[in-house]
Amino acid sequence: MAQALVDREEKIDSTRSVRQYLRHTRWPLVALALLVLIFIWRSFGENSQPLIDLVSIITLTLSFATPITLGALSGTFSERSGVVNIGIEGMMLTGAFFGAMVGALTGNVWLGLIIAPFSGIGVALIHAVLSIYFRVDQIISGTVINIFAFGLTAYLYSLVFTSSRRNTDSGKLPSIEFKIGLAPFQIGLVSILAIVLIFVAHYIIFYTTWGLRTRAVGENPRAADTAGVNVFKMRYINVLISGFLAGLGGTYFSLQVVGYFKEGMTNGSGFIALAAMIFGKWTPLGAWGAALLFGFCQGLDSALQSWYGQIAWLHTITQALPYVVTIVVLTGFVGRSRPPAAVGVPYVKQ
Amino acid sequence: MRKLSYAGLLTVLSMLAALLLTACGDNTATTAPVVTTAAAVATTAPAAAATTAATATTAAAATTAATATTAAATATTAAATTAAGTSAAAATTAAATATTTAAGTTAAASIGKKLKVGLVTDTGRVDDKSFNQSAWEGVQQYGQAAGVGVKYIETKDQKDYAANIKQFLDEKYDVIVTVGFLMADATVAAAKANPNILFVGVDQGQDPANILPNLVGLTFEEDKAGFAIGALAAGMTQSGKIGAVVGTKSVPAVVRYAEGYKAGAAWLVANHKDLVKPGSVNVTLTYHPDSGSPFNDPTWGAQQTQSLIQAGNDIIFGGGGATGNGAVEAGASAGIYVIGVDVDQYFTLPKAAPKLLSSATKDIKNGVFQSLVQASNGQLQGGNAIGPTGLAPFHDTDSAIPAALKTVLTQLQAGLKDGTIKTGVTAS
Amino acid sequence: MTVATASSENPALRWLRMAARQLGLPLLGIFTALVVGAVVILISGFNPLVAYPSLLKGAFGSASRVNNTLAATTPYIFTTLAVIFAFQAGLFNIGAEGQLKIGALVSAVVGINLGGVPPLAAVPIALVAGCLGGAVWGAIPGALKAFAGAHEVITTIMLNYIASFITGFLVGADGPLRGKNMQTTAPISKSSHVPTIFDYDSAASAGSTNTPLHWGFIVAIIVAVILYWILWKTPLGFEIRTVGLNPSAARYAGINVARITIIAMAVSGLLAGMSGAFEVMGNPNYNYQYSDSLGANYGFNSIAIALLAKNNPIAAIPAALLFAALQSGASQMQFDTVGANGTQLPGDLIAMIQALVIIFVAADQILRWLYRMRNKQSAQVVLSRGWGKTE
Repeated sequence: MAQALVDREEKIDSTRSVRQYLRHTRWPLVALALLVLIFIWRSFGENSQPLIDLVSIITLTLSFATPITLGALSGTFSERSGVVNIGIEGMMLTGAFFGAMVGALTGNVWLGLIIAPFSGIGVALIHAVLSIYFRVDQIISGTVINIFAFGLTAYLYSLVFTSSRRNTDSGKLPSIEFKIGLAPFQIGLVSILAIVLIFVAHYIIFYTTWGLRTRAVGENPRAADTAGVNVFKMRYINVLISGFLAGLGGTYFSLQVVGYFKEGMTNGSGFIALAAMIFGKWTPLGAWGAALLFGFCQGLDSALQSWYGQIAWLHTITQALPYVVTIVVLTGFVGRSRPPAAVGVPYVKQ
Repeated sequence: MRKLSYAGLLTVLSMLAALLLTACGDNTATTAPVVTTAAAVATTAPAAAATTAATATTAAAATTAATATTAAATATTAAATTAAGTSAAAATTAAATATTTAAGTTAAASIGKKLKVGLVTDTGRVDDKSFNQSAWEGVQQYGQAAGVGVKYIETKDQKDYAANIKQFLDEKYDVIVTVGFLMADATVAAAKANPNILFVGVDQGQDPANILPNLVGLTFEEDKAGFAIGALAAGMTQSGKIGAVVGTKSVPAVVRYAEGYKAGAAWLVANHKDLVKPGSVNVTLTYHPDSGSPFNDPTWGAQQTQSLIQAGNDIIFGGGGATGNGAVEAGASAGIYVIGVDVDQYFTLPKAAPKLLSSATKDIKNGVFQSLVQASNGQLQGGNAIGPTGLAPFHDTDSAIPAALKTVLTQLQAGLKDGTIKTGVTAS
Repeated sequence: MTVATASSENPALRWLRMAARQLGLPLLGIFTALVVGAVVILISGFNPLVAYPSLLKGAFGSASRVNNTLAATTPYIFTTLAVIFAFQAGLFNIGAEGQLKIGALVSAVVGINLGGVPPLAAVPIALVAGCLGGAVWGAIPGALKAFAGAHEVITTIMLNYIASFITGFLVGADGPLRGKNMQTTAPISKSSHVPTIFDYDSAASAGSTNTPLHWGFIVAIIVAVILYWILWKTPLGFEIRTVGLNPSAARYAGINVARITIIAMAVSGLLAGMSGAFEVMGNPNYNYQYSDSLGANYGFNSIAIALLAKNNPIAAIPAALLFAALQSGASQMQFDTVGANGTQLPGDLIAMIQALVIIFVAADQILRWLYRMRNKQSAQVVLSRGWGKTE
């Protein structure tokens, strides 16, 4: 059984080809096509400045996609090992808060960047213990995490900052800025980290023993156990990695964009990340593609507003588009997404 | 083993009973029973726990015991606090600070009757660096000047406006300050039902046909402040593109600021074209979409600012609670000139200070304070009170602003004041 | 030891013991959460013996407080019933918030146009319209699940966003349904108001502006009983529960799983829609108009309440009351609990206590572990299935 599983995984690895790569990156390609269309459309308008518009959209897309990318990566690690994680939102919020708090209290934004992922790990530990040790229903555990994180961060914020009138500014992480011709391009540190981590995650999940074991535990824990893999250890560590990535994702809000914490500032990104993960078929590259599509729609919406002012219906459509597309993808009209077979099922050692 | 779960159950029930006892009835009378019941719990629980040696239960019981003793120590002060509404301790500390602050502020106004003042925030916190904070500072200033304790309640959900106002009514407060346009209906309803209580509604324009004697709506001509900063922005832009990132379009004050900004820019182009370097100015107004929390979304504000900068805008006006703050800070950190709102944000957003041209201000703090002083002296009149608006000092950017533009701005403000210059904005 | 005694006990006593056990754990969970909360309050520099009593006073301290708390309970009962009904069919409906919004908006639009209709007809018409709106919005994820296997957790979350974009557009600044104020429609006609149980105006003149309890509360209790009856006393309920426990077995037994899935989600949506409709038509705090702030966080809170109620429609009523009481008592708590330098205890503590309550109640393994209790042999009920088992 275990051998069959390993064989299957190896087969997938060896048949990795251009076709498969295209499958992973289909959504970025769709986004690119849309981009070209917008680009052509804008080129005929008055005040046309195609290059600036193009670079502008790319900048915005990369920025908006960052938390979704990290959240989706977070979900990928957890779910590949067989643990559903709908608590990404809560972990991100926790990361956003602790990053900002440490940054503000110490005056050192870098310390905030270091602490945030570990606070994500802290929350992930609760999720791991609840769902692996106590075998609580994983979706329930995730829901609880979300509610708890919202309460915890709001309470701590109020306690530490509101009444004492302490400085709430954590400072901001640097970003790289340069000009392509006349067009300014900008990318923040967290965004760069996110892109690097996609490839790291891809390598880990598909090209290392660790990744193979993680996938085995998520597909067939019994067989993996028989083959000598410690299912519990694998799941615990992967859930903690998930918390690390989500916590890092939270720093996008507090340390990269805003520079301080605001209650509920992740604003549902964790759920969009969840959708991006499913959308991307539980693969890092696919998740990135989906995140870019979400980011593109948000960026487009934002750009359209600054080009044409607020046109309510257009605004609504560009905002709702990625959500509708997600549903369409889920229904399988565009290709069924297959989850890891054992995800959501607590493992009981016999 | 089973015994223990009953011990737990018993503890729960007695705790609940104790709480119930305290909640109903008078505070002073029931504080003692709480302590005794809690103590009773503390004695019975360890006994049960000891037999089975369950560490967790003992820990829980120990906490109960601890809280019980704390209660005994603080029982008297707590009772005094709740019974009197304002604690004696709070009053004395306030009195101690009152001498220093009263001397420092311009408000040497004499305060008649000492009133109990409570503030209900709009969905936001009292440290939002914007209108909730200004109003709260006004209330605090009164509290210090009059030597009374003041309290606030932060609203979490719009449906709780009425309940939060009622909170102060139940505690027999004399004046209730409600902050924000969205609370207008709830405030009017409460004022109608409680003719003996005074209400101050910040940003709440009153219908002239239905004036209530005990409700003052503090409003501001934001369009004038917006007009002035619009002219300032038009005179400072190099690219000919200026933007505004503001809270929702559905709040009149926000629209007045934003439309005033646009009109002010157009006015400068029309009347002082020589001061406008690019020759024309394109103004982009970005309102927060009505979904979510329009005044509490700094991420959105920062992202929209980034988008506007990408599109070539080189001056951003950020207006509307934390959302506007996000815009102002994002613009300043990107190195473009920004304009703040409501208060002189040179002081509230120090990070943005070096690039802050000015702020479109409305003096909520002073407006609230003055209303409260009038209330103290029995001079508060129901209806609309129009508070001052203006242009904050240029501070660090002073040297960057051409003298000719400054002159025009001074004339413009005078014109707006005496009515010779009209903003043409009619949002309400 | 315990097994032996249990079998020799007489049935009445055993039933009592079972009831105590059923109630005991949740109560113990609530208690533990409150103790943890008390420790947090203490560490934060406030006095829990001031905070908790004033929390209770804020929720139940006077007739009008009770009234207010019960009014806040009403929508929670409906949305919790919505979550529970879907749970019973093995479906995890996170979309109650969206369904509530759609239901509320539809009932408002219908209610606005019922000016000339007598109340006896107008109220049911607007209410049914709202229910249908919610039912349709709920049936969509049901159908997607039944026919395409799309997992309802993701589709309902997505539909929440889509619903909020649609309503946000419709009542937005330039929206076609916008009333006088922001994010609201025009007020509905007087004839489609659901009356408050106690006289709203006379209470107001006595100094308390707040008796928003409307007849929806009574309806909520009746609906809870009806749901209980449907789920446990009818063939449909049996089918729903069978599908919930094991869809494969249900299919094998000849149950049309697709049909049950759609019905369960539609009824779930209907209940959420009813929640929204009653808020619009009955709650004076919303000024008898649709407000886009309606239902914020109700979806997730209702899941929490459903967990607390252990998926029992009747238990949903006290569970919803607990949540609503915590929330409506929060402002009194913030008001009364003053620490050093006049700081006030943040009301956000409530959200944390709520989360702790759910952690302890939903995962009673923790409680058993914490209090060293015997582990019950009956396996815990799995309320939802991960995407892994989607058919």
